[in-house]
Amino acid sequence: MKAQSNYLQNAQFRIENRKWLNYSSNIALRIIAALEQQEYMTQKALAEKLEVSPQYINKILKGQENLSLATIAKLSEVLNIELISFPTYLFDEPIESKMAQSLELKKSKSK
Amino acid sequence: MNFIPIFTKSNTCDLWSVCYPEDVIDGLQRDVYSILMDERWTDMKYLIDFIKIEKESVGFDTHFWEGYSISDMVEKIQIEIASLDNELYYADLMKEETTLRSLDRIFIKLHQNIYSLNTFNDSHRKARPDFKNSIIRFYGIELNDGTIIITGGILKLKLKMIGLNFDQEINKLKRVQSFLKTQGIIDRAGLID
Repeated sequence: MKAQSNYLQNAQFRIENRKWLNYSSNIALRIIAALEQQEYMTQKALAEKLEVSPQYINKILKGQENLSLATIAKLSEVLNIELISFPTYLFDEPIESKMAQSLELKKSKSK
Repeated sequence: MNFIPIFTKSNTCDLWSVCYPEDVIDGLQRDVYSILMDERWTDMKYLIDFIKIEKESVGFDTHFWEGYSISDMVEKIQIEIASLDNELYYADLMKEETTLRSLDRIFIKLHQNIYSLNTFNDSHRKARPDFKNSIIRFYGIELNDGTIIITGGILKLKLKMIGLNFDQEINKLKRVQSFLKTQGIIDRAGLID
């Protein structure tokens, strides 16, 4: 009997989950780079620090693992690197003084 | 050696993939297309190691890759995988409806390379994503009815198609071609039997 390829299911999975898979591979790249820079930190040592199996670390390094925020935070702490960064957004804008707001209002009215 | 349809049922599938006996793990057959797309080329560790080795090897296209970081190259590979994934899927599964490239436009004749003189075979094909200086390459054999069998693929970071990786792909093409000949397979019906 001929085996059926799982490619269709796998391709659909990739298409449907592309966004988080992309996050996962980006995190993997940063971990691989950190491990290269920190010579004392082997995959085995990392597994011990995280209290997970070396096989799980291997999976993470492939960049196909759906990591929890807790795992990402632990990896970040142990490797001493930032694995997620957030762009500035609306609530990051400093509060303007009342005077500045009123000047802005006058400017827009005079236009 | 075995052949399996990639995207759809065997009686309608125009794109097939080879299962090599050496790729069997724990009794499970794995086809070469899935191995490349689902295991090798989506494995960050594999890609990093591969790029590092290629960077230091003879024939690496330093002119083209100047200014690219390793992460840029990995990102380019990921974008190409996503694009080719999409194109092949629609080219086979929704061939009547898609406005993207058809299979015969994706898999062009393998003749414009340095192997042509010694290995030219009219049925050998190569496929690449629709990008300038694309990295991904698939190789295959076209049967009499237009059915394509994928025999392998590589990531091309070199200027010319030279070296062990390319030799292996040419050997796979010859190996599958020879198998098809001995089995008398000339079209899709032969693959189904």
